[in-house]
Amino acid sequence: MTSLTGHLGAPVVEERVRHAGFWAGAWRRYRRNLLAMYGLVFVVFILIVGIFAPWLAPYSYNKVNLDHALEPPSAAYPLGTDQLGRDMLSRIMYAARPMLLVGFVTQIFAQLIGVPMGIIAGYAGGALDWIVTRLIDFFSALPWYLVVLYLVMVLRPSLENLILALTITSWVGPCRVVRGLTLSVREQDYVDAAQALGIPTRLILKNHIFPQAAPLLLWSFAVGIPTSVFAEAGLSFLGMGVRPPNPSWGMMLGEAGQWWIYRPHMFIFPGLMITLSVLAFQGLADGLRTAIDVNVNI
Amino acid sequence: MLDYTLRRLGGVLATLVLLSMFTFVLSRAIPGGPWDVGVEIPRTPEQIAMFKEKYGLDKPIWQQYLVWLRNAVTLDFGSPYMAPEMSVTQLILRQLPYSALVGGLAAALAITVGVILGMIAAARQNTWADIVINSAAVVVGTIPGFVLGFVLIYFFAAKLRWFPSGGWSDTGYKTLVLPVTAFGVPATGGVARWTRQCMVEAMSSDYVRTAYAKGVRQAGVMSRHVLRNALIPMITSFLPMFPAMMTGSVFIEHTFGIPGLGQWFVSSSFSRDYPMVLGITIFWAVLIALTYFVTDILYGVIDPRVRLTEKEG
Amino acid sequence: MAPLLEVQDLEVAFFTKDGVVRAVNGISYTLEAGDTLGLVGESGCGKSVSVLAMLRLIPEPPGRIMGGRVLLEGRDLLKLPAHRMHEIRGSQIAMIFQDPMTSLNPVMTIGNQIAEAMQVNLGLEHGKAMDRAAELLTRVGIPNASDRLSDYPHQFSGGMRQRAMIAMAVSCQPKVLIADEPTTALDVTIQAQIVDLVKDLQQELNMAVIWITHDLGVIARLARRINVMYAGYIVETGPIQPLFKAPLHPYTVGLLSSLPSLDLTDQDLSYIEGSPPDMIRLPEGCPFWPRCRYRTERCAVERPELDEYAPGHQAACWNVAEVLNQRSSALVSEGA
Repeated sequence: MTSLTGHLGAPVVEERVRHAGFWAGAWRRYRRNLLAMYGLVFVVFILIVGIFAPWLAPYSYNKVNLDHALEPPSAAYPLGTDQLGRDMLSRIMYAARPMLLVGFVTQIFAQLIGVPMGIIAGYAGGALDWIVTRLIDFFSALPWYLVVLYLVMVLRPSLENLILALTITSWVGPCRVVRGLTLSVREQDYVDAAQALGIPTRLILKNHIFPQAAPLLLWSFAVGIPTSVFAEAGLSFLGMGVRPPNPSWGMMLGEAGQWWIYRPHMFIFPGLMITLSVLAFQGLADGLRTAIDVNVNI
Repeated sequence: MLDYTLRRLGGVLATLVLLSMFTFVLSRAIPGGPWDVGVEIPRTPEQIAMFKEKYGLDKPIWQQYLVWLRNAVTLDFGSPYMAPEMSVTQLILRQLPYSALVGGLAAALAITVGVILGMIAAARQNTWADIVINSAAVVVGTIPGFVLGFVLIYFFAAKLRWFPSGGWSDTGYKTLVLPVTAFGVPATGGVARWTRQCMVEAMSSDYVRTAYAKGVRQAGVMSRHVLRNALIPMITSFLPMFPAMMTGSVFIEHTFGIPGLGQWFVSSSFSRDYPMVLGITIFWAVLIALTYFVTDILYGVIDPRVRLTEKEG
Repeated sequence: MAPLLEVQDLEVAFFTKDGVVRAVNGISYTLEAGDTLGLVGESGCGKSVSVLAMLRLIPEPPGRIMGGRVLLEGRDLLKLPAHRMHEIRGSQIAMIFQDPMTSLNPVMTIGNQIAEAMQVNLGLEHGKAMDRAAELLTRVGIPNASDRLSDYPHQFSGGMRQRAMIAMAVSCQPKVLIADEPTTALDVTIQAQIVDLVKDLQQELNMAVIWITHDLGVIARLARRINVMYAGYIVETGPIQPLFKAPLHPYTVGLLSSLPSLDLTDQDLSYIEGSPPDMIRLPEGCPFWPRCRYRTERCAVERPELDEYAPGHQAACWNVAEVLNQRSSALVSEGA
């Protein structure tokens, strides 16, 4: 009767445990989501188009050619021309830029403002928290598009002002998320333990709170983008966003004026791009949510 | 309960005051004014000065604000520069029905269809019906309303000529069909998904298992246990949709040429019509605050956990 | 006399995207009327799944009852069409669950929930059912019962909620009461009260009880017989006294010796090495062999079946003799 023992005489337990890191597991979950994968592919595609537009576009976005105005798609102009004879394909390519700019930059600023405020509010509590909560309430009192509209109107429509206005309405999102997380983490015993050991606050924030916040922040970043993209499209549509002659899909829809009924290519392509983009960013955010298993308590 | 209500009310009022202050200061702080946009087309400095004096714009900002505030409390928001023969309140009330009709119908459409689809998806979890409904909801929910508006106008108004392409005429309900559809369909997606989520969460909870273990049959479990619990988060999410949509989506109104509040807000901002802008802003803020308030109260009514405090035993 | 309940070779599996979880792997036991059976084992050993399967409360995807029979008074419950199970649930076999807070409908009054059971099973009309509910609440030890009928679950304390659940379960006088870890979430003092309550009710109504727990201390007061489960198998079964005094299976030995005892002050707490089994990839042979200190080479290849070593006392192990050997020498050295 032989018994199987390892060293120290303890029984040897054969286990093959598959150690998956957090991000590896997240990627696996993300991959399963069809919409999320579409989102990823499309966003990469549109980034390439936007960044390399000057090299990819057959014409300049600004080349007016009234002889060829309002032409349906043809060999020379694959997506047709607009009312000033400008090539639609090139304009659509260039229009990716303001959309991407607004989408990403807005959220970056929103996070830069919202996250520190949220962490401070959640961790410090008391008066600071009260102030931040009041601010959150205040900035949520009106629907975002009214605030953005008003600000852009008053400050004169431009891309920069649009980003500014959107940042003002978007910072609330990440702030809420981070504050909620900080509040719940702060209640945990291990934070008490760290404080009891005399660990300085900034280290607690860095080692305990931030690592848990990181996936959540990534998600809130992603979740804010569809709204910003929609805002850019909508406001440019109303004439309040990107300034002509710079193209934007929303603006192209707005500019289509009375002609688009006879030349549907003028609204189909910009409209399609807007929809596909919002869908893609939405998918990205949705995929991130299931991938990192977000449980957001606001 | 009363104490809580009063505190909330106080918070709402404070927010409103702050909001109005903010808007007020912002609008005055930016250079330029209504005279720049050809409202009464005063041009010379003397005319501008006269205009300012007429509307009290030459006084210091805080004075202007206090004057406005005093009037606002009595619901007198002054007259819009663009239409001085009416008061702001009158104008708002005149334009509101257009937005309210379109928005209200759109919300009703979205909620009715969305809830039905969501319940089907929940009942047939993980089957084809569920996957189709879910995907359709996601896609449809992300199409911007005004883009959908274009598509609808192109097909149904221009090509098929079934419906007018907008504006406001006396052809009755026909004018409403396209804008309501464009506004309501994207919202349906969100409603369906949320309904499904609330239902699924209720269906997979422990008390449903207990109910089955007790011998209750599926119909009874669904109505007495699942629905009653699922409806709570559903109602609290769907009710605010009405005021939100009734106050007019700017984009829809622009696309379909509906003279609603949203459109007026845009044009008022554009022409620096301060009284109008402030009036509409406050109106909106009040409506939204009121909605949250009502939702809160409703929550207390339908969820006994909120309504009653714990007794010890 | 034929047993009230007979479980034969019950097998339940869950089909997940990570693989097939073999939760219950062929268990068999009987239950007489009025008897008390303890079902003991660690989390994940299949004890809850096995009883949920009896009532067909396993969610069908991803779970599935793979085989076996469950005979209630000779009738196979697993063959009953699903839409007729409600005739059994609540009236013949009732169940109470571990967490009474989540197991009770938060937006329905306690009175209505208890009355509901009687209304659907016994056809009582609402008024009568509520009266009975008040009586039941008093019987389970809740004061001011008629006032408390209109309370909601969150207004009760943990122990009271469990009492209400018990009232609900026994309201239709079922033949079998299944209790799935009802005291795990409660204070120790309340635990004892609940156990006593169930004992009383059992005698009063001549109910058979299946009590599931991972806590041997709780079961000691209540059960007449114990099934010890591990990895979806019953590894030992027997009357309570002999099983406690002379456990046959190494797992049972481990369970019993890991109970801290007040008089062993200067000894290390003993424990069972290793970790719970991966239910998707169960090892060949005896499922316990990776953690067993009595194992031999045979254990890794051939799975032992239950063998009887004393009247009514069975164990599934190749090395029972060695277990008993070591145990008696340990007792000798302790100067028992």
